[in-house]
Amino acid sequence: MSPLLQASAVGKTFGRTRALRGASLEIDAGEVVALSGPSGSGKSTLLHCLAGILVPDTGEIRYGGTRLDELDEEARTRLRRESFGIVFQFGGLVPELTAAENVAVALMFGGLGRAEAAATASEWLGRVGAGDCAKLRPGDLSGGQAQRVALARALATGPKVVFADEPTGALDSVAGEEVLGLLLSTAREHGTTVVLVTHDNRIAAFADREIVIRDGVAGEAPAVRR
Amino acid sequence: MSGGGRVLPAVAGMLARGSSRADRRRRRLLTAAAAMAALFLLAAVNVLLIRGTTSSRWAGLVTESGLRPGTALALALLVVPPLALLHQAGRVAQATRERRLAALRLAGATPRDVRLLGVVEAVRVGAAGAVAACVLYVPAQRAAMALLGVKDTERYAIPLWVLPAAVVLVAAAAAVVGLRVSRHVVASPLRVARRAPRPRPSRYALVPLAAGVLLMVAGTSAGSVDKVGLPLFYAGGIITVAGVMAGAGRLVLVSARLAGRRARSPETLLAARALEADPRAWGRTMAVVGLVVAFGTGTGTIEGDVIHTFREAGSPVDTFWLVSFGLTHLALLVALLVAVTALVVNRAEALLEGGHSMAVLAAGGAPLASLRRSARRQALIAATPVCVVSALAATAGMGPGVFVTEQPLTALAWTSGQALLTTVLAVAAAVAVTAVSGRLLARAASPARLRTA
Repeated sequence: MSPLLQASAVGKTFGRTRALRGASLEIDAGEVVALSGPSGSGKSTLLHCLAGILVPDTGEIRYGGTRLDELDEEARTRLRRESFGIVFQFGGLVPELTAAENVAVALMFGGLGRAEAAATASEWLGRVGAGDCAKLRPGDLSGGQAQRVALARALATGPKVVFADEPTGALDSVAGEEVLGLLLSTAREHGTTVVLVTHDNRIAAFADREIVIRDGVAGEAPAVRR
Repeated sequence: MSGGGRVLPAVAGMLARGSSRADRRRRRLLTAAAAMAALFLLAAVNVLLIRGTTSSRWAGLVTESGLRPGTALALALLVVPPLALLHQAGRVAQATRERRLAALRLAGATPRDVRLLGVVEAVRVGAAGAVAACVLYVPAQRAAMALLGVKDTERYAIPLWVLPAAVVLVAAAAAVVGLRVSRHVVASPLRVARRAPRPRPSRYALVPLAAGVLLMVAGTSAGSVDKVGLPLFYAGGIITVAGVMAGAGRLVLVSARLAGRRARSPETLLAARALEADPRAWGRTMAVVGLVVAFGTGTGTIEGDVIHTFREAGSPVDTFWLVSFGLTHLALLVALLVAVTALVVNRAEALLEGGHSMAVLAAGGAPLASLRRSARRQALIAATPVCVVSALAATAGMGPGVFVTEQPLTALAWTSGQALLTTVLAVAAAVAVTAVSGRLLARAASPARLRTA
């Protein structure tokens, strides 16, 4: 069976900084993979390349049989909308929208009507334990609540892959483990692939597999296989 | 640092020298706005100080003593859009200076020092702009008089004592703007700088507008025109102007709430909620656009009457009037241009503050075209109610037009036509300008930006 996501000799440079120097990896459908490594190692850059947010300077990124690095911005946007869910460290919720609207708007961009999107958003907020926050705006949410809402937004569209960039980085250990537990249990329930970036070994231990990135020179490095 | 107010100008100078390219660009914009305000102010005072009457077909608004107060008032009103631009650009500078301000707090500056820094910087750019305007005005006026073959140049030249007075006045106005901009900023040494939350515009903000229109209508309907009608009409006009300024934010809020409730697309929902969260920022800019619409509508009454009178007499419209109308329209266009420039600055400020969440939306698959559409809808939702209400207020106030016309129906038709035209033009300009700022949006909402956010 061919891997769902594949990076081959991916290189990415920002100005004079070489963030990635030939990173390669393969991720199967339904896997939970942690990309770990010290700060500045290039793990977030690799995640952004895998998610089609950044285009690598060299190498290939494949999703299914599709070369992501050859798609134009519009096609990559469509792919992210239809197949990926993305969670960032600080939630990245739209401050003017309520929690429910933040989830609903992602569904509306996917083509759902407002009423249907609102109903689905409400259902997902309930699933991640943020049902009480539906009418609150991000400014009124705690870090943990905001991250649950971000999680609901990422999962509600039914993605094939969820990319999570330090999803617990801004949370205390209890809230962090709760959010991560939610992400992983929901993903496993739906057979969703999860790629998460972390510099925390305890968080990485939740994954099926950990890939360590160092100085952007990561090859397939299954440091720990569970 | 709090011990020395004397230190503040030096610190402001150091900050200016160490500023980024974006900061310098903003400062140039502030200086240009101050210069424009000073130019209109100089022109207004210049016109007021001319004595005596000479005849001219092309420059009657300046050469005829009876028309000069009106011309000076129109020029003085043109100071408002650049001041609004100054205010808006000052807010942008404030948002991006937050980090430096927090660092200054760590270095010992008090919140008062931080606010005063805003004032000092505003005075610097205000004074620089005013000086630039003075340097430009005198030779430009001389050149214009030479070009037009004006003989009695001393009569029209601006007295030199006006120049330093204008610099002081513009710098003082900039100081007030700087203080207004800084007054909501609370900079903490812990690198948390925020604007104190502001209450939403109250429904009572529309009372002055309604009162002004009622007074104008009462004035035009009064039996005794000279003793009761005119004073009521003028008082109503002034209160209406103040009412548009005060009520624009409320109109934007109401419109945003309605649009948000009825939104069927994510673009409209995002646009409406963004406006609902901060209706004052759009209200400030749209108020100036609304005033342009109101004045544009009002001029329609006069134009309709004049043109009708000449047609009735079977003669072509006098050049004096045509030139005057042309100049009036030019002035309105300039005001509209400056007002919509403030809108670009408003957009830049919004994107600086909210760009990250836009980038996250784009990363999640929101197409850039949708985000652009949302920005255009934001302009439409904000501009339409303010422009329509301003046009209606001016039509209601000027419509009967008993002071200026004996053909109220003709005047009403012209007023309505001009109201429609200026409203469409103003709303289109607001939407077009937002579309022009699409490059800013593309940069702010680029998911690649999340790497450095």
